[in-house]
Amino acid sequence: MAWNEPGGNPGKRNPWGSNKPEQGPPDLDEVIRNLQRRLSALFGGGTGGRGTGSGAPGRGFGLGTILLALATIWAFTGLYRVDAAERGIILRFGRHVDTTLPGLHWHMPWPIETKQIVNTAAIQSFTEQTRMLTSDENLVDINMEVQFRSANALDFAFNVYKPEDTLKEVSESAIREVIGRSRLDSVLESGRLDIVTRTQELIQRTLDAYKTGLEVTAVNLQDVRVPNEVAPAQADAIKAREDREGKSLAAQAYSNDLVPRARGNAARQVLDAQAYKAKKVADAEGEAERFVKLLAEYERAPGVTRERLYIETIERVLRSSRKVLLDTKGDGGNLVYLPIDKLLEQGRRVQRAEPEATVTIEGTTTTSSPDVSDRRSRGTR
Amino acid sequence: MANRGFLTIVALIVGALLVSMSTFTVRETELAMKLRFGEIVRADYKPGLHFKAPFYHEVHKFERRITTRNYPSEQFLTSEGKILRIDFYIKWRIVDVGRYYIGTGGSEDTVAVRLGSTVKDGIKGVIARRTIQQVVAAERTEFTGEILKAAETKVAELGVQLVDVRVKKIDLPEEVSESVFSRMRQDFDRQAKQLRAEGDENAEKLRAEADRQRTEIQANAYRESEIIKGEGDARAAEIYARAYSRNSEFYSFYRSLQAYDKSLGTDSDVLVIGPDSEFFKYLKRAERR
Repeated sequence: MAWNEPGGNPGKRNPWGSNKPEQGPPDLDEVIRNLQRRLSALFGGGTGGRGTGSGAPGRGFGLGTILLALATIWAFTGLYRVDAAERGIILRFGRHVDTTLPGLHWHMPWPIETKQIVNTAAIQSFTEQTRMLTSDENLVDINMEVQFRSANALDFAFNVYKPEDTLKEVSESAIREVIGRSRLDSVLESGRLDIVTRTQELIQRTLDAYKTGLEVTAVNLQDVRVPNEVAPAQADAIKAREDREGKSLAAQAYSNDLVPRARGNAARQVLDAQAYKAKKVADAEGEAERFVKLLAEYERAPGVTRERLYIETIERVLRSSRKVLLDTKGDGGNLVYLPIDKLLEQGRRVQRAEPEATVTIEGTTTTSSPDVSDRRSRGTR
Repeated sequence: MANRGFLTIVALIVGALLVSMSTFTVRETELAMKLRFGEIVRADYKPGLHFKAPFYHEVHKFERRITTRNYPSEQFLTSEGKILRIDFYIKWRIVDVGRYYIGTGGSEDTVAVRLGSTVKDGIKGVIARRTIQQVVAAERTEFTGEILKAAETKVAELGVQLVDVRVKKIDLPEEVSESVFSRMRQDFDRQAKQLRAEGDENAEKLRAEADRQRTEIQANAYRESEIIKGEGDARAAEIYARAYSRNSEFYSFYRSLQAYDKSLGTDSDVLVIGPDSEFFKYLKRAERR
């Protein structure tokens, strides 16, 4: 269609128009076929054409051969290969006419057709590190990697000037928007996946709006951290979190140590009480039974039994203790000095040294002192 | 003969020159316009091969693809009077070559400058109505939408279509970053203090709970053991009472003797005794009383 100018436009004449006056807007292919026919006629030194071939065949053939060889080489420059990951875009005088799949192809050589090969599978990436504001007006440093490929070869080739630059701009805008809508703590802690997803979606949506033909395959947040100036404080906050856990664990350990022991002690206390009860009851039963048995005999002969029990008991008592037998009656004003301290001291020593020693003091007389008399009076009572 | 071959070549070259001078190609990525001594003849070319008259016509080509211009960051005032540094980009596409040529002289920079100032005014207006918080957290499209609409008429007279205006950086000025840092530090300090206090709180609760359990366990055990002991005591008392009440006089005698036996008969005791006690009644005389 572009071959012919609209009619009625003076001064613009189709160069071949005069040769084909009856033809409407010619098909380009036909034009080229026509051209080829002419060329072959020209180079072949054959008949027709503009009468160039009417000369000596030898000369014409020589020149024709050279031109033919050149034409062949020229034709071969149109061979091209499209790899598995690629698409070939064929432009005829700048107009897109074909998109070719992987394989060996031929296009009409320059300047008629040109090709543009676009790799639609290779994944490229770029990283971007910037500092940005979060919604709570904090600053965060983000290192982001964006991976992309040229999914749509035609859009990629024709729609946007430098699509990769556009991707960079869009990515920067998108990550800033997403971070700007997030709080710092969620950016630092849990929200990473969410941020990645939202950023990727936003980038893709914007790219699609521009029809860049690019597809974002992945967005990676390689590094998300607060600026260096703030890092120590943040590290301390993280450490505080661990401290919190640590303290809880320590307290838990204390509890785990304390409660079972208390339960053990409690069990012991109860069991001790049960033992006490059993002992008390058993003792009581024993003692009561003993008493009852003795009582039966006592009632048969009260006087004798009573006397016997008394004497036996006193005997036992006096045999094993040290004693001072004092007959103060009728002794008048005589004062008795008893070194009770020494006696006790001795007794203690004896006790330690085992051998039995009995000291009997009879009728010891000595001077009086209030202290001694006091002691004596107590002793004789 | 030789001349003929030579002439052929010359004819070819001249023909090629003529063809190249009287044709032009428009690529898929281009827009073209034909002028006749400065007057626009045609501006709606599709991609492909087109013709012109050599010297008589002049052809201008323009970018058909989306063109981008980035603008350096500038300061804007928010509604609360704070300064934000904002940069942005504008994307446009030439839609009307004729108007574009007349309006801008075909210069991209002219478009960039004119669009830039329009958009800047728009952004200024939008920012001035919002707080920092709102600006930072706003969806970028939220306020570029307004700007796009506002700039549309201006853009139309340039023969271009505004594809997008997008804010990239929204930053605080360098001078205030130190105060942001100190606020962030304080915030982290606050967090750290709170976390530690929470740790103490939790630990104290756990310890107190453990102590409570211990005390409770102890008290329950004490109660239980006292009850058991009391049962034992009661049972024992009952047994004793049943036995001893048979002869309480003898019991008191018998029990006293037991008590003497237990409490007195040790080595360390020193007994000072008068010989006139019942036990010694035969010590001084042996006759029957």
